Amino acid sequence: MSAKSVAGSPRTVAYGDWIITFGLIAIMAGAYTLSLKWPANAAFFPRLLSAVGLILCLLNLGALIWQTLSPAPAAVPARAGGGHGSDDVQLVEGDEDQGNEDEFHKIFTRADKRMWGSVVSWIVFFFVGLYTVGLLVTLPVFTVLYLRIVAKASWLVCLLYVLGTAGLIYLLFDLLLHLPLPEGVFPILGS
Amino acid sequence: MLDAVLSGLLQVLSPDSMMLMMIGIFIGFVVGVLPGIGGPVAMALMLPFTFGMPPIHVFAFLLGMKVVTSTTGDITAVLFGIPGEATSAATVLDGHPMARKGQAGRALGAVLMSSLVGAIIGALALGLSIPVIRPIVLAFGPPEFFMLTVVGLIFIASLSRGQMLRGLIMGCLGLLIALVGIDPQAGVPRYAFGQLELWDGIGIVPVVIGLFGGPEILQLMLSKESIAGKSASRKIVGVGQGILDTFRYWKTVAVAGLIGAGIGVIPGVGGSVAQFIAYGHAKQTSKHPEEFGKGSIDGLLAAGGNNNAKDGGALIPMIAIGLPGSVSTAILLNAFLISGLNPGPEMLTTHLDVTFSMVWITIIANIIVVILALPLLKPLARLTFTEGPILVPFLLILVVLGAYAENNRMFDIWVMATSAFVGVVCLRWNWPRAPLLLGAVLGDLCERYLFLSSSLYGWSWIQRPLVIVLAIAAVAILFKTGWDVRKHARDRQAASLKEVRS
Amino acid sequence: MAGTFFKQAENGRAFAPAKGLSTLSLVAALALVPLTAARAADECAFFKDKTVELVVPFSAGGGFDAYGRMVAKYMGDELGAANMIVRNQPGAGGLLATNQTWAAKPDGLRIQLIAASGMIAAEFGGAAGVAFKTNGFSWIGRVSGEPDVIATGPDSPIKSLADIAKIGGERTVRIGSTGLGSPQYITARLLATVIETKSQVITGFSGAPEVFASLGRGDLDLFASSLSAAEAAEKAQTARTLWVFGTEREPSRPELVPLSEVVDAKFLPLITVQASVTAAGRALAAPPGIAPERLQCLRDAFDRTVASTAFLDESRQLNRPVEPLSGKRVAELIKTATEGAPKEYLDLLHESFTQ
Repeated sequence: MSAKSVAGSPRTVAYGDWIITFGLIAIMAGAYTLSLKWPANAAFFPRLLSAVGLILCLLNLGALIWQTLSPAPAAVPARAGGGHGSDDVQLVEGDEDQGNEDEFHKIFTRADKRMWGSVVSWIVFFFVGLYTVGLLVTLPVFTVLYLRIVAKASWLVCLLYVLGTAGLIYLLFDLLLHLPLPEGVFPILGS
Repeated sequence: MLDAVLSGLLQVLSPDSMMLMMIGIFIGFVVGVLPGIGGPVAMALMLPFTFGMPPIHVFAFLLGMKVVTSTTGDITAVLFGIPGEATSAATVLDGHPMARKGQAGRALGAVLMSSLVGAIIGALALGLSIPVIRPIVLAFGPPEFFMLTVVGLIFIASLSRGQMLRGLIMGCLGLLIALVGIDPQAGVPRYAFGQLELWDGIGIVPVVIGLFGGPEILQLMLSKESIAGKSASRKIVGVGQGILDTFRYWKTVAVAGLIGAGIGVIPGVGGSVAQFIAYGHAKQTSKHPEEFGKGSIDGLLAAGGNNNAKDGGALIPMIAIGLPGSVSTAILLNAFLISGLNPGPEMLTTHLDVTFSMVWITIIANIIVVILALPLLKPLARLTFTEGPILVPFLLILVVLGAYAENNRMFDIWVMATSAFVGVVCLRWNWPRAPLLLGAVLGDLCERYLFLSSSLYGWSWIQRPLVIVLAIAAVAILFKTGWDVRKHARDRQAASLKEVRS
Repeated sequence: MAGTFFKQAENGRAFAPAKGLSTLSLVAALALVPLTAARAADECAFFKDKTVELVVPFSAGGGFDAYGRMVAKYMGDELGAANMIVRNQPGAGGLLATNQTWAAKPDGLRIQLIAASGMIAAEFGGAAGVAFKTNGFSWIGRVSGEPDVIATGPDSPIKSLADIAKIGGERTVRIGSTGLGSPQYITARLLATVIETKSQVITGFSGAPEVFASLGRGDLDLFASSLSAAEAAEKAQTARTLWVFGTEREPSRPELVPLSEVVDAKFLPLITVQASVTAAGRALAAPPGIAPERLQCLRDAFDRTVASTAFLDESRQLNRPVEPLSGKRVAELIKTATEGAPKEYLDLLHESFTQ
């Protein structure tokens, strides 16, 4: 969840692609290296897959380099002809195949630093809360704060919301299924 | 045999079993909406309540609950884009885009009805296979299972949405993820980094929930809009249309159901592969393959029709030889043993009525859930018009609990969060996610069955007739996909050239 | 599974403690009775209004889980606790939960149903990730300890050791197993050793049902599994049971010959130790270092639970045979099994776990 994205210019898209490609190259190379220590039969599949994955990632890297080096004609929407055989299709911005995922892509691309910052902080807040004090505390605190600050909901809505979710969870997890709920490392409530 | 069919029906219709089935349906309805908790987890936790019940009551309760969770899990998948199980991920691919276009009502109607049709097909497949059930089940061994995983993996290509190279890379990554854990050949913990939690591998449920649910929640937080967006009309229409769609595209639904029931028979591999085969097949035969992934009604119908049909198929090897086809059937198998029944020939002779009762329960419970759910679809569809931020805390809790419930451990929540991060990165930079999921589902199965085949048969397994048939099918699908991709690319290139010239 | 319902575990087991020792402990126990009883009563009051967690190291819905839930249902009341809840903590074949119980606060509020045989094997095989000493747990009692049996396919020609040797003369005898290091793998390896012919252990099956399916298909020759699993497979006509993996006959299946009578006498120590490890079965334990009085409370509550008609009725109704054994006997059993293991056995365990 990098906060560095600005608008959806082709350059920034490529910038993310570089990082992903290098990240995947590192993962594949690491996976291959780790597999060297294992006995042959255990290592066969991981080694095969990481090797194939590594080659594919390098191909993708090649495609990226090609794409950067060859000046894209500004007027042509489809920067076709880059790289390797079948993957030339992928480089098209706003590919018609993408539908819903494309919509998500647009939302993620358009969001500015400030928006990413605020969303990421909320999520970090939620998970840190979950980790430290567990669900029973995090649920009402996060819900009320988020609903008040972001959704601008009234106190009544917050109250009903928290009671509703907590009630549902209690009914399902405690009464019906007898399932434990995630507890934090410093539980305040519960056992 | 007809006696058993009737006796099975009468026993299911007895007040006691109907009562228990209704309770099971009610629980399944509520629990099924929660991703990750619906299917096997709910059944496992409800199993103790069946202690001491007669067999048909046990199945009325458990099987009734199971079929309902499959259906209601699809509701969450359509509305919020979070699949309930790895075996129903295909529903998200088209169901959720429809909801985002403001067609939640139609999508829900279609998924509900196609699930019912699929369930009936699955149940009939179970009923009709009874005379030949054992030879069929015994004809499939590790080599056939392996070939089926290969067929499944080929669908990585068609799930790559025209980004073949990236799709293949994500597929490789998914396959590697599936290999995490103690390996079955040498007992080495692979990619476990000293974490005991990783020894049994990475749970697929947290991965699915994170991969699909994570971006959805983040998207709501960023856009602050409702799921259906501002542009869509606020009027909820189309539940009826969705139901009609099921019958308009009856062929798609029927074929998807048959694929589900047929491939669902294969233990372990069946459920997860069947959905992609059904979905891929629908795409290849559709008049509008370009709409797949964007809210295609045939895509959704194929996923829905397949989903409940495979449950019927998965019962077949369990009844025939006591080999459960899925996690849920493994729990049903336990229910069998607990209630003193023994899978195998007994189920086809002395307890044939119980076997048929399972067919009836599947059909009746599915009909009941459609009747119960219909009036709820409109209010549920309205949720997609609720302001995004209002839904966020609820959805966050949903994904956290869904990831946590299976094994009751924090670790799975981190797996879910990591998958969510991967999902967001994929969408932000246009990398396909579905191949990752497919790889993660099939990787270890593919490896295990390949090694089992070669240690059981040497290389001679390649000559088995069913293996050859599956291999031909695999090659055919591969060619067809390649052909489609090429044709598609050429068409588009032509179109864009035209655009530039004009 | 009919007929294998609970039976007194004491009969027919080879590990009765030395008589002198038991007399001595009896005297000691008698001397301490008034004091211990009073303190135990105090200690038992501790559980009042408390929730005791019974950890099951496998997923909900399985056979192991059913035993855990059966015990929890009745033992909470016997203990006087407000509640006894089952918590499933699957992972690493049970090691994850067992490690955590080993390190847990020994207050008696977390107890675990341990797959004792698997844990002994993992510990003595030097498996990576084992952070406990099976011997060190505060054993509360055994719930079940069914023996392993050896099965072949329903249509297989195998009826005797000679038949196996005959197959071994023509081709490799195939023995099915789940993954390396699993309890089934160890029995498969032992089986491969004692049949003394060309054989191969085929690993990678996902579980006993899959092995039995292969057995039924005729892909495999032999498989060693728990008695109840083999009986289910017999009913499904995917297996035919040959021998008991042990030195004594199983009362519920008297026609099955013990393996020790089938194979060469030199393997007796190997079979004996494996049978005693298997007999440790599914047992309830608290973390090490629990106060003796509190352990006594738990043991008493367990003994009362497994003796109660309600519990036994349920076990019979659910086809979950129980073979209760007191905590003290379990501890002794595990001590004997672990201390008396022949080197050959330990070597085999090592091979099964360390790479």
